[in-house]
Amino acid sequence: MITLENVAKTYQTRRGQIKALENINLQIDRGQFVVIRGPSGSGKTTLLMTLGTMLKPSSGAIMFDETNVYKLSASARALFRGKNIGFVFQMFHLIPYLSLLENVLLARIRDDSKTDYYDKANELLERLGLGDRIFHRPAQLSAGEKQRAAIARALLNEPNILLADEPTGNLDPENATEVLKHLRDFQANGGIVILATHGGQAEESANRIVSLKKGLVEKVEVRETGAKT
Amino acid sequence: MNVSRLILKEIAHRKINFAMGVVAVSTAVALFVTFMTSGQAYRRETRRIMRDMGQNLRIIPKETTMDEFWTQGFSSHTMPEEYIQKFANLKGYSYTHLVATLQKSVEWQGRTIILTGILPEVLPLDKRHQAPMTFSVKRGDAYVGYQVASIFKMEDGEKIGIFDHPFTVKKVLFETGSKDDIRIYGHLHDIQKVLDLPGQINEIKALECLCLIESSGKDIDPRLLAQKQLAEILPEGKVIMLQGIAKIREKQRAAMEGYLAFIMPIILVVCGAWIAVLAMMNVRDRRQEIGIIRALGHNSSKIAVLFLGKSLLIGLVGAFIGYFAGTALALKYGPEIFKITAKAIEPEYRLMTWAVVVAPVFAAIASFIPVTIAVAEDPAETLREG
Repeated sequence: MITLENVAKTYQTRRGQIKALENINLQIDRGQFVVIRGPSGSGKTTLLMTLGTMLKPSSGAIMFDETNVYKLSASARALFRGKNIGFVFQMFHLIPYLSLLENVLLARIRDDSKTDYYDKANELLERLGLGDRIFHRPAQLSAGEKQRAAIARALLNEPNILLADEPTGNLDPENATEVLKHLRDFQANGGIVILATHGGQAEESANRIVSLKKGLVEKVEVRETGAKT
Repeated sequence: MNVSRLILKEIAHRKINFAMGVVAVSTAVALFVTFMTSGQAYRRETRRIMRDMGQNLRIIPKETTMDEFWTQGFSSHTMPEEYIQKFANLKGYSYTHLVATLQKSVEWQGRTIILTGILPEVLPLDKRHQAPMTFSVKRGDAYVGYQVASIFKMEDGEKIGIFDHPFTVKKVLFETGSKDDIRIYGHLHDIQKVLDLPGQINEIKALECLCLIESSGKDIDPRLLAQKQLAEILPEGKVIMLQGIAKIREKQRAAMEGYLAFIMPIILVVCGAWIAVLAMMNVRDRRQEIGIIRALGHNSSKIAVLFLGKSLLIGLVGAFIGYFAGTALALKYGPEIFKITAKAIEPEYRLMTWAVVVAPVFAAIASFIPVTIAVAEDPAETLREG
């Protein structure tokens, strides 16, 4: 369970302070697919990065179960992030000089000799329909394939949470559908998906939609359906 | 995926960045190696030229007064010939090419000449391999100065008598424009007989190479050092160092070192800045990569290792290339510059060890600021930029 208590984020600029997030209170349970919706500049990505333990809030607390993650040291927080949170970005952010398999293996942070990461990465790529592309470089793939590879990378460490920032923003409808299907699969297995979007197809998968406007939660919609597989 | 593999993959991907870095390091190393290798040749050449200028150290009997010595050009006092043997078994001193002489101004056939008896050179125990730098005279032979030979119309092979002692003119010497033109050289023991001074000498000439002073790098007065050392070996002697030669030597060394001291920092600063700029460009190119690595849970030390590891590799490859390029340059162009010691120009292998150790550290230091920037990159910011 993720709990946000009075989370605020303020950026200091030359022109003064910009309040990116203000008084955010949310509780997200296991197995939820949460869509954060809002126009550009509404604070979606800031909220996602804050949830992703990469952007310390100016005030408030973010609890992952009993862990106040921003009370951890930088290296402990990095380890926590690696173990518990997977990221999927609109621009994929695959390393251009690594093969798909290597990109996925880059996520390996545990020094766990019992886990055969190589097999696991292969299996993930296979499951995401990229079994015949494992030695290809990102430049040799289509946008949809890149995003599926990014999902495979996000899933390598078996995280509890998947944070997706406009994951379908660069995809055609067919690929977008497929990517969302993989995210729903993750949710169906008990994971939390938090997806930031301007709106559109992703909302159909959500069982909770948080609308942001100018850094404030404008509305929270709860849907009984969602988790379509 | 381990860091070293990641570094190698990135290098293979951004070959030009890596190659430019290697060029920077290898340029610095090559120039340094060329200067150092040539510098060694320069020092050898200076030593040889100085040696060819003759001995720079004169040991005379202690009771000699300097006004008399400089007026005559030699001491009127004598000391035992055995003193020269005190030097023969020495090790660890920088004196060499020791020659015992006995000189006296005499009236001969209505003219004033300087009779000079010399013994073959004595080399200290640890310098026996050195070739003699002065000529020696066999018993019964005479080397006649140009002026004396001209006045008395002497020729090579002619038999002469000096105060009833027979000599054969072995060689008439070239004109030197110095007192040597009025000398007749003979073997020391022959001249001792002529002058009725058996077992006596009045000077030991020696070459002081100033090696100890050069290697210590300290500002030591070479004359004082020579006096101090010789006082231990030969307390009965007085030491005169020909300051002119020593000063020239000092100046040459200072000029070379001054040149290196000027040029090397410039090379280091330029190449260091070059590496820093390349590292900065690399960090800029890889901002999103840094962001994603951080997002995947790797900490900042991994980022630092990624960039520092690359710098170290650039330094290592640059060190090898630079060493071989610098040595090749020195071997190709050194002999044209240092003609006398051309054959002695050889690879300085110790510089390779130096290059392999120092160049990677230099590259890492040069890229320190870009690495710090890479580590401080805000992943949220870079990933947001898309």
